Amino acid sequence: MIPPLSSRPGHDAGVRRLTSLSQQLAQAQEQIATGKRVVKPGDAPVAFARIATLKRADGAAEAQRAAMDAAAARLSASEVALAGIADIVMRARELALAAANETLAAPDRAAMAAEARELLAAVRALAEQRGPDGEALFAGAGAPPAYADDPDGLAAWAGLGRPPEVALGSRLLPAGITGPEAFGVTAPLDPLAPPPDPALPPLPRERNLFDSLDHLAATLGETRPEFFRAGIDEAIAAVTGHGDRLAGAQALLGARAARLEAEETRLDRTQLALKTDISALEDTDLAEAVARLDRLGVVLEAAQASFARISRLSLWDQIR
Amino acid sequence: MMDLLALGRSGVLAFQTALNATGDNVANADTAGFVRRTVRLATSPTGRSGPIERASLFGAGVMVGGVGRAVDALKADAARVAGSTHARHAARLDWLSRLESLATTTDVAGRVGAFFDSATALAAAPTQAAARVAFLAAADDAASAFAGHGADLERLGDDVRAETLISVRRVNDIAAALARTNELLRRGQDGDIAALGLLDTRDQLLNDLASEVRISVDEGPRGVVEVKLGFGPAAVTLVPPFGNPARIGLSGDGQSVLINPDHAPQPVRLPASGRLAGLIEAAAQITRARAALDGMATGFVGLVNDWHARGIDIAGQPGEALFATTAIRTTVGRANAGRAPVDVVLADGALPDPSGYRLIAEPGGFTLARGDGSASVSGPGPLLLDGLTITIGAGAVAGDQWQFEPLAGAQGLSLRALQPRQVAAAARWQVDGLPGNAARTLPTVVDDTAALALPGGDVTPPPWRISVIAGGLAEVRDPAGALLATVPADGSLTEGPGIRFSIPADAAEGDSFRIAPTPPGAQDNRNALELGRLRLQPGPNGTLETELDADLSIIGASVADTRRLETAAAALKEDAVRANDAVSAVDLEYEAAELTRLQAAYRANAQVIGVARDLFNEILGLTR
Repeated sequence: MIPPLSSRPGHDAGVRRLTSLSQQLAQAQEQIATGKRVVKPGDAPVAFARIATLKRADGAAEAQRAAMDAAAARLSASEVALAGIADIVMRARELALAAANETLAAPDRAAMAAEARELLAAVRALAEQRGPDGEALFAGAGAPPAYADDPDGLAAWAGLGRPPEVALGSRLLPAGITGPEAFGVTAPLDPLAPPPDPALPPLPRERNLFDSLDHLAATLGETRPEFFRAGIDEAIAAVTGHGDRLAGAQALLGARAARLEAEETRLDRTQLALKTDISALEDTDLAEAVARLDRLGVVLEAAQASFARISRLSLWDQIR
Repeated sequence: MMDLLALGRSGVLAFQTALNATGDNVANADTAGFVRRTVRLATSPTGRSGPIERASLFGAGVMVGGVGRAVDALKADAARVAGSTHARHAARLDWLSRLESLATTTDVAGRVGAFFDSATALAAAPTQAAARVAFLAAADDAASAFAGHGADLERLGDDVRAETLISVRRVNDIAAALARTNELLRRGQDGDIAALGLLDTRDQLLNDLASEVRISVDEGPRGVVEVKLGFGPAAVTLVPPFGNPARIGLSGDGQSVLINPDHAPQPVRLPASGRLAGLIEAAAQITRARAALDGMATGFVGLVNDWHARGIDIAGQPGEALFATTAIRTTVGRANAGRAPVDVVLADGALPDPSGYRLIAEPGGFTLARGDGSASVSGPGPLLLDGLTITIGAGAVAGDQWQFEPLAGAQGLSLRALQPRQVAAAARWQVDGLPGNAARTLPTVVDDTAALALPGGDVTPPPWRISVIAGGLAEVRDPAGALLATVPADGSLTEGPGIRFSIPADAAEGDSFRIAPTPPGAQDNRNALELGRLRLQPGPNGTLETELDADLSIIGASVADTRRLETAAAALKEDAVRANDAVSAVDLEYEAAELTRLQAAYRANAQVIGVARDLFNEILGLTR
């Protein structure tokens, strides 16, 4: 039985119904104003937990994107440095091939030797190239400088370990390349080998890029023909080998950058899916909310009007 | 004729009383707890004053048989029970919503997530100072999320306990008032006006009591009630029909109710109904949330501190603990006359005594003592005990006291004062090999404090050079070339001083590797990457963050549940109250109709008197 408005409980119940309508109206208004349907866990516990997970994944993807951007910047800085070095190595090869003609006079060869030393200095500078955060690109995990002179005056790798990595899912991708991978290594002299015969040209040995350039410059200054011939042949082979190695290193960096890019595309798609899911879970369906707001407004107005109308009617007015 | 006059008189008097009752109803239309009065009219007994008087032929008129209260005991009880149930859900909903909004605004999971994200940023730029500063800031934020939320939950627990105590006191007060009402009712007359007012008061008290605890009521003669806590045969008597009421109290942990708390306390199982039950349930949930948060904080600190200790900072040193796990809370004595400020510093890594400390101002100095009295220091200050340095400002008065209490768990959590360069982003060991190696992978190195020396007993730590020789063996040499050991190169773990390492099985003769400790200034990021891996490593209940999420959704689920129950209970209560009010409440329209009806009856009776008077005048006129 619905109590009449003329009794206190009936009046209170009427007022409560009006209040509840205004509360629903306020809630619809809030949902429209904030654009959010789920604000507190109590609104929808399962949806809220899901939103929290999705938002965390989205945040982590954002951090991951920044990390991959940094790795990509490092990779491209390394690529640029290697491209510069590859140009220089090509020039060194031209020098070596030109010198191998044997038609050149001694002063010309001296000039070429000077140029080779300049090229060496340029390569040394490029090998010390720093990344966006001031890290030495070719020092691996070690501290700069990447190359230092050893007691024999030859450039030796001073770095250590592998370059910093970036996590792609559960895999780790090195964000760069180490000096030895790009520039080769100089095989150490065997301390037990017999001393070389000064009358014979020394046997060819494996040298890193810097030592090879140094060797080229030294060979260009060589006056003994058989020594020069052996030296220039070794230098041409070495410089060609270094050119090939650099091309390989550039290809490796390119492949790593491509993997990063593919991962970034995947991340974009994941993030888009995450944002869509979050929006589907927590965003207000505006059309529905506005319609609800309208309907509630009409109902509230009608309820208020009928409440006022009914409470105006009273038997007491009729008592004289 | 005299009969007619008497009949009219009795009618006028009776309807006057009835009109009065209606007027009283209208006047009390908005009085809480007022029950509509009804007047019962009865035929006056014939024969006025004794056995010798002759009975009247036509009856003796009307009289007021009694003024009653329009009550239906069953409906009133149903309304009370429904009110009890609603009060429980309303109280629980109120406190759980507060818990929910605290947990949502503090967002511990989000801030812990931001900390892990900042580790990803640190891994992306291990040499960048800004990334290190941001990492420390995120760590500080995560620590203060735990500590702040822990403090908030403690405060919430204290608040709900205070309200529970108020509820308990209300029950005791109402029980005392009911016992007094019982006494007054026993003395009064059945059906007199004062008794009716008392019954209204009694019902109001019963309603109030029912909103605190579920009760069952037995009504005896003259409206004297016996009130029991709960229902059924096991219910405990709270207010007996005679004598003093029992008292209830709250147990020390705030989780159960005791009867007779002052002497012979006995725990009572309250039915899940009434505000007190709702408050106790909310307190239990808050306690659970606190315990869960403390557990999670401990897990988080353990994870991060262990992780950090495995790394190497810019200076080439192993990482120090990132978070401190103990804090000190200062409580100023309530009776302190002075206003001296007290500053407390806990030395890094110090372990304060779990019993706490007490500082007392004495004439000419202070005494700082452990809570259990096992040690103390005195002096003018600053005072130093167990790594606790206490500096007291001016303005202390002898007799002033301060308490210092060590906080563990979430509240004890704070970031230690570390420099950005002390962030250990680099792994401890660096491994590399020649580009021309046949092996596709590099040796692996793990720290192991149980490992003591290389095979053969050499204890020279890395840096080492490892050259693979024929026969699946490898030589371990120091940088100068001295042979330290010959080890298998088959992928098996080999012991070294403090480490275990393996050389890949696909290594061929001539392959060469290096193992070296990370040098100062290294640009390595492997330890920072490791934190990203640990973040995803599930514990028994999933990762740390999913656990935090789960806790939040447990709170959310119980809020949503309670909200549903509250809505249902409110509807039920409304129905029950409505049914009861239909009987007991004043309806103004109804009273207006009654007034009209009674007025007409009154007028008719007055007319009877008028007719009697006219008849009397006629007869008097005959004599003239």
